Amino acid sequence: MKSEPERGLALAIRQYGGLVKRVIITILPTADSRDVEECIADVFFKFYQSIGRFDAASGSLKNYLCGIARHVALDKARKTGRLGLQPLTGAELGLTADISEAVSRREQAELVQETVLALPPPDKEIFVLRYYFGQKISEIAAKLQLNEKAVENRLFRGRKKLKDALQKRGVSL
Amino acid sequence: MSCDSEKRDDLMGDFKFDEKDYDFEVLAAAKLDELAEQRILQNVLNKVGLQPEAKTAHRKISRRRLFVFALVAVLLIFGGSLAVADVVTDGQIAAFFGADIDQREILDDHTQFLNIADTDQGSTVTVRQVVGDDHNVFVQFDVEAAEGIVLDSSWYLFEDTFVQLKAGNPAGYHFEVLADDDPTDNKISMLLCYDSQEKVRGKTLNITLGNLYTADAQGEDIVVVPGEWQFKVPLQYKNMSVVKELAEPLLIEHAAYKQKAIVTEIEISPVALTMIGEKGFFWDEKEDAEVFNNYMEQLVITLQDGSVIDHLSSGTGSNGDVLSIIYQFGCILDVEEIVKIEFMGQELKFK
Repeated sequence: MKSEPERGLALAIRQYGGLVKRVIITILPTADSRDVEECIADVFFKFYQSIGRFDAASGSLKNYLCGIARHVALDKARKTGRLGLQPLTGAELGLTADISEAVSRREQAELVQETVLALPPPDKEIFVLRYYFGQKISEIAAKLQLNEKAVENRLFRGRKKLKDALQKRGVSL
Repeated sequence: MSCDSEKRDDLMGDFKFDEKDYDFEVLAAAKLDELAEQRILQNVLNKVGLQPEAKTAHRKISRRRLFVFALVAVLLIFGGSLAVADVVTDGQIAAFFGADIDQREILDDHTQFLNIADTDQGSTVTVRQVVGDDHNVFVQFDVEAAEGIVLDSSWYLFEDTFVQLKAGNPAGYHFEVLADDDPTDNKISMLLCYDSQEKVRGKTLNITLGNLYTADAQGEDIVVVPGEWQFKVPLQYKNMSVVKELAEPLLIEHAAYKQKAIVTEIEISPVALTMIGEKGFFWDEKEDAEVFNNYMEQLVITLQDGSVIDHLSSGTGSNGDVLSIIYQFGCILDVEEIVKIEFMGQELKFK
């Protein structure tokens, strides 16, 4: 990528462009094709800028690109008023204490990863669609053929498990 | 015992998404056709500044950055901003580690004092002190904002950071804001905590920091010190580590990497414990992966006075033929006072 940026970018777009597009339209389902392409270009631009920060040991390149795509799409959604969801915070879980005082960022990331992936299906999918991809309850309900109340109940269970896990690590109410 | 107080508003911000983890389809269906690929590539190349006809905002930023990089390079070549200062520790690193007088002596003996400064947009960042061991380094630096800017927030972070020893080296880092003795002025001190699978001593750490930010009264992120500062920090501090050879090889297992490795020795310093294992096996999928995904609470150190150090900040890395697990203590330990080290519930015996 560094020695031959044009070739490296072309290969990256060829290999991961489809995945990046899918992440973006999962977050921006009503965006027109020009906006989607602009977002994809922003993702690979940011990828190019931050290639030195990519750490293969802490996750795959797919993970890394998904993270950038999510950030770009959520940013776009905020700027265009399409995003009605605020990030999932400790306060939303009912925790008033500062999480950073109890666990490091790495510990927090590991704990969230483990807790979310341990949720049973379809709770895991619902949680990720809501809090990672910022989808509306109604969109998730339609996608998974559930009613909205069932989606909300499962989100509540997921939040509770995450809250319990954080409390076990010393984050107080 | 964590030394991370970064702002982490979005709990899902560091989540690693992988479609393989889900039973139901999560992502929308979509494909990218060849024409779209070409348009996107052209767009990215324009943003990167590789197309001569492109005149985008991103290209202007690139040129500005290039100028800053060139300026810094010139300053470094002529030694204008790089000097080894004959100063004594101001105690900020010691205070961060909660070091007592004896422990501070240990730190003072091993601290490398520097005075590497870079100025952008009227604000200066100066690397002051470096201390660490073979795999962990703590870099203390001061931020002096341009006149008129008061740095009085409890936390600050950089919008853009690049910290690298060598491309492809598994490493992790985070920043701390150190105790501020005058919240009414334009200065703060910060600490970069870096851990690396490759040995760091004797090498150069490349650091780029951009736009210091915090949150305003409404909780919105706000850049308070705009600029970009770049450093090449020579890591020449004295080694604080001792290498202990294990009586019997230790098998370490990492489910997330699906790898196992054999450790024959561990490295202990007053600030960290490092295990480097040679990879030789692959994880059996039938084994219980849950247990080994998290090493955070798997190391317990008992000291002569009976106190126990556990729940350490840990990092794991995998590269080439080696797997590493690194625990940073967040305090200063006198290695001589360690009476027992337990890993995964098993006491480690040394030769």
